[in-house]
Amino acid sequence: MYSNQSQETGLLISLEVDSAIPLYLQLRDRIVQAIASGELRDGDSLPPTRRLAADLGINMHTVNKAYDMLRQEGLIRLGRRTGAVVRRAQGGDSEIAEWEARARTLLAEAVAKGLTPAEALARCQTILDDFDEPAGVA
Amino acid sequence: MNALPVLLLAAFEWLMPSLIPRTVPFGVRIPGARAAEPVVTRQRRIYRYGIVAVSAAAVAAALLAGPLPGIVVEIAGAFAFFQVARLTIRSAKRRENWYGGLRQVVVADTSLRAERRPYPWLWALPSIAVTTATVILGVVRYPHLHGQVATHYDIAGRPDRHAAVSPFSIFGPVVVQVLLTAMLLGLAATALRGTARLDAEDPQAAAERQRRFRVIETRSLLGLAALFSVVFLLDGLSRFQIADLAWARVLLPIGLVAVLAFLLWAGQNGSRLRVQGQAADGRTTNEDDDRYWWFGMFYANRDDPSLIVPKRFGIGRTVNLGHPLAWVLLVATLAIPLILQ
Repeated sequence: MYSNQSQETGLLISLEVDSAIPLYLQLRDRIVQAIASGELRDGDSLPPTRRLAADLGINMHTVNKAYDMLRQEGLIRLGRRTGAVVRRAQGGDSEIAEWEARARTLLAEAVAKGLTPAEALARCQTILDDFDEPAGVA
Repeated sequence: MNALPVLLLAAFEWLMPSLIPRTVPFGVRIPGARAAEPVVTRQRRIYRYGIVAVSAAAVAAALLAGPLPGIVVEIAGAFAFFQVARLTIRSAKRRENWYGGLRQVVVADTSLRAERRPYPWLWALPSIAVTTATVILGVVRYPHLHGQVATHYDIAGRPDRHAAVSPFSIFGPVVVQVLLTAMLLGLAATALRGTARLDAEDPQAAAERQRRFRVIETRSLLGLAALFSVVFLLDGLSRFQIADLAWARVLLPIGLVAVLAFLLWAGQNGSRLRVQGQAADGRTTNEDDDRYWWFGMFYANRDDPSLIVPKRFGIGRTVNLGHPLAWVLLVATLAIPLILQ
């Protein structure tokens, strides 16, 4: 049912309203995951800020903030005419280093909570395998 | 005849609890798992008894004092019983902490509005053709008109005011007809592409329901546009002194009931359309958004950029009073009939 003119792909977005994680961060995380899993591909459009905010019934600034964060991370391009377009990053050194620092924290949490390094690694592999599956599996 | 509008309203109000999504009984947001709580079914029963009682009083008022007092009694009485049901369910929800331990989420399926949906011009054609014909007939006939024309009808459709032939008395209704048709065609476009609010407990089924309902709603609005333009044309035929087809006025209630029945069958926002769904996980539910709904009926949310949203207790859509444009729209809707009078 998707037309050829619009490169906008369907995405199911679900935000938890009273979570400790702010809405904009949840939205950003969802989009990052959609890029990783192939639900969103290089060149796909994200919905216009206003429309997405209206469908979710949330403030436009929340969506703006998420898109702005994704832009700073190099995951989307924001254009006046094109809107938000996914750009699958090539992985700049500084971005990778920043990611590694956060991965270190997450893995430290796993070890601190009693996971052996081998278990932690196996779980990471499972997650990465999920990303490899064909797009559209929600 | 005087009691007819009251009876139609009463039937509509009586049916309403069955036409709305199950997670908003009487304007109160509840988790789906609570939809069959005894307090909810009990309030639905009490409300319906209330509607029967109110309608009996309203019919009496209509017969004794005329259709308008009857309508006022009906609406005010139904509103009162609605509020009783709303407040009772709301206090049960708070007392028993129905949202305890649940994850409240808002969801969007971006494919729903990304899909291109062509405007059904074929369905819009009858109203456009009939309205154009009315304009042409009026212009052609105007030089030949003389005497008095009816300019106002009472609620039962009998002319109760007349005026001499003038551009205003002849073309006033034509202007209303053009505006009304344009408005309905515009609303149909909104129905096709407007804001989607999905049930977080089963977003995929909700999205499919939306797809089907949008087609139904759009066609209903275009059907309504066709109906109104035909009624205006018939009125024009008598005003332009071509033919007096006063009997054809019955078309209006018959057509209205037909369009309404079509919409009612689908339920508010398509809630009655049967769609293959998945069982909810039991922990995820819709955001408790009662605070945005004054009296469980009027929506005001400053954060929400939507101007038009689905009604909570009723059929169709309502404006977001937290949106500045809503007030412009409301004032304009009130002002246009006043200016035309």
